[in-house]
Amino acid sequence: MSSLIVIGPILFGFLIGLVVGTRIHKTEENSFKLTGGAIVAIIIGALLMSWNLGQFPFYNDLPIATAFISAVIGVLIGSLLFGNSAKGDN
Amino acid sequence: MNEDNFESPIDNQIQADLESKANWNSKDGTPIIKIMVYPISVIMIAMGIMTILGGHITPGGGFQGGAMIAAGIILSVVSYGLDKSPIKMSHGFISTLESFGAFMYVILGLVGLALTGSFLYNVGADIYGLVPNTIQMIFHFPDITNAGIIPYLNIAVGLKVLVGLSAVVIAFSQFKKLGDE
Repeated sequence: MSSLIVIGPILFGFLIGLVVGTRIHKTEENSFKLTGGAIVAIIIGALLMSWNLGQFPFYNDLPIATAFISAVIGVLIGSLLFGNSAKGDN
Repeated sequence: MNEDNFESPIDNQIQADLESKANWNSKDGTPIIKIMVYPISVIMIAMGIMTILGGHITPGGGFQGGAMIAAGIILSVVSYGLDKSPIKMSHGFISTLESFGAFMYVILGLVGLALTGSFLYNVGADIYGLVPNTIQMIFHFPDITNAGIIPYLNIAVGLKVLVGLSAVVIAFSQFKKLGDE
């Protein structure tokens, strides 16, 4: 394992996740509510998935899929910051 | 007194509850779908982003990753319905992201055309040594490979595909409502 962390997939995974996450409403009526427990559950599940994915896509910095986990964090942060102001055209 | 015809208020209440429970999924999704689809959509979106960002060294790329992100959005729309879906795709967001993806792709192509005379020349990798080092450093994707602008092209294509496929399904889900009006 190299000590050099590859910032490309981490940075752009977070940015794209943030953009998509801005459209995710966290307290939509009659559907799933993004509570604190749900966020913790999603992060734990994402960590397990990224561990099993391994060093995808074949970088040697960390033993987890950094692009995947940064995308999950970006989606959650985007949803928490801007999600409630998202409106659809329906 | 016939016992079969005897009905207390409590029995009526139980019967009403049973009837309401029998129709509990007539309009909305089941509790399993309501609870599970949201986290699965988030995970699918993250998997799509990972596929986009690994497109230059692994199978996948912009179109495949964008289709995976759109699949997460479509799963949410199909499960919850468009009105109650937690993922809201507005017309402005779709048009902005679609335009940004196309603009980013064309700009990356024009940079190569302006500096080397070849449209979509990989100014980030610069294997022929045609561009200055400062320009190469700007367009070089920050990872251990020498992919140059290819990850950026994947990102542009992925943004276009994710909103394009989502827009198709959102439009299809609205046709019946449009016809009723």
